[in-house]
Amino acid sequence: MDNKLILVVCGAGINTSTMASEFIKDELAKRKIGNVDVKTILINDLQRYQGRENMVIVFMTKVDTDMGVPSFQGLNFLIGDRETKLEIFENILDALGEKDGSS
Amino acid sequence: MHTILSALEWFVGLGSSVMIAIVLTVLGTAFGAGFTKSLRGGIITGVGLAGLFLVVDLILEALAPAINDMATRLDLTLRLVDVGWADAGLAWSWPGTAGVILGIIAVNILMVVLKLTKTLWTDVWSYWHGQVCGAFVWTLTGNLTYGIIAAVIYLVIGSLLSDITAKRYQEYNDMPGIGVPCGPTVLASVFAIPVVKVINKIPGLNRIDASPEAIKSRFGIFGEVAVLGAIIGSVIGILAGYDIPGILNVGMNVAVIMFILPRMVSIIAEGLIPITMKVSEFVRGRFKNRELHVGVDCAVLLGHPSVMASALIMFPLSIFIAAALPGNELLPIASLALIPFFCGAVVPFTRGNVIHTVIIVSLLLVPYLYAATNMSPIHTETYAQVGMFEEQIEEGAMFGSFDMGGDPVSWLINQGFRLFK
Repeated sequence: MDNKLILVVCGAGINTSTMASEFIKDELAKRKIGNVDVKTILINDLQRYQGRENMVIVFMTKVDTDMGVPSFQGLNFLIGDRETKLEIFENILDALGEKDGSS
Repeated sequence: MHTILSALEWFVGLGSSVMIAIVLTVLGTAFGAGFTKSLRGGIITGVGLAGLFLVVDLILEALAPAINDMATRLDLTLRLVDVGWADAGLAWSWPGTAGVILGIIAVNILMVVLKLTKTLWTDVWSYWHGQVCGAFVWTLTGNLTYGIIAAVIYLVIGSLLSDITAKRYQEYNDMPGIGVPCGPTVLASVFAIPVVKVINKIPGLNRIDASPEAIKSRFGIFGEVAVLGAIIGSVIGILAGYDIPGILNVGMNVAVIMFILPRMVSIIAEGLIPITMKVSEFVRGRFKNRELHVGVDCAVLLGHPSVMASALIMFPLSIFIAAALPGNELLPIASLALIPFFCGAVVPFTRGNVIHTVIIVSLLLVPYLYAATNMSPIHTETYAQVGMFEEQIEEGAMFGSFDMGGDPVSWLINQGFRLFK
């Protein structure tokens, strides 16, 4: 089976999505969660992932496409303090069913 | 004074990639991001810089001659080499970099404490626009302190303009708490506000719209930068009078340039993340209970479907405008990458009206093209000052770009500093 996937969707793929994905990767590594991939893509590439299972999406810009998977507004990875960032991160893990694996 | 100058000279002489790696390692460690993380960040930014300048080499070797041939054949005065976002490399290559980072953080905190602005300038990456304006002033005046002051002035103007525009971004893009203080974005928005009012008064024009979905589904393929580059390059090859292999190769090279250049820029940005995280957590912690707008990168505004639809129309239109504008010397190719950002800044004010967005961005290009032409001598010399492309510059290559060569606020600040020359 494919690894679980966190898709970080960006308007330009230059700065904002990297900020979010670095934070997520850091936290995943800290908790030794190895079966989750983090991928940064552009809005235009989103359609290619239509139908992918075991996936959550983190939007760094406003996107109207409904992908039928759990989605999160990732803006707080840029502007939030540490607690807010961790809160979204926990919610993402929850949606991926990874919450218990964190201990 | 003499020792400081020769130390500075030695430091600049190390080359931009080495210099920025050292600067970011020291700054990152000082901000508490940890030595290893800061060192890694510093080296990555150095890598991005080196990569960025490799792309400029390709622009100079493969694209510039073709544009020259085309211009000669069509009797156009488009003699500038469009270096596009290579200017983001300048930002992290000039000796004022660290001074500007510390300066704007201090000034911004002071301004927020005194309630002069609501914008928190925490996105270190976006400082680059100010950095380049400062580097131009440094070249112009030969004075590093003036350069740093100019850069901070530019960034302060950004935060003040962001105060005006932030609410609309937040409502329209559904993103509470943000502001976008980076130069080209706030400028485009502030420019759009009065023009939208005029457009809405013109009968006929105030009703016209085009559906973004229809444009996107019909022409979406041209939104892929590689495809767009290949087409633009091939057309340049045809107009330059090349044979088929020549045409196809110019097309391929422009595809390479347009695809790879933003990737290199993103590598530079990646290396700045440890510092940005620390700065934003530090500043954020200071002002917990105030309603403030946290400055973020302009990319957050690109998601609305009207943005790409408008950009698709603007890509070819920008080239026509540039060719038709008398006295303009810049043919935007690499700089086209900025077009979606302009559209993203304007769309919240036209409420997604594609035609209105296209009109506003077209008008906006006029000052950008003239400023780029006018700034070209300083722009080019700044590259020579940081030790890049000296050979080609000696042979007569002249550089231009939208962002930052054509930035009107940077142009104004440089005019002001001419008095101190």
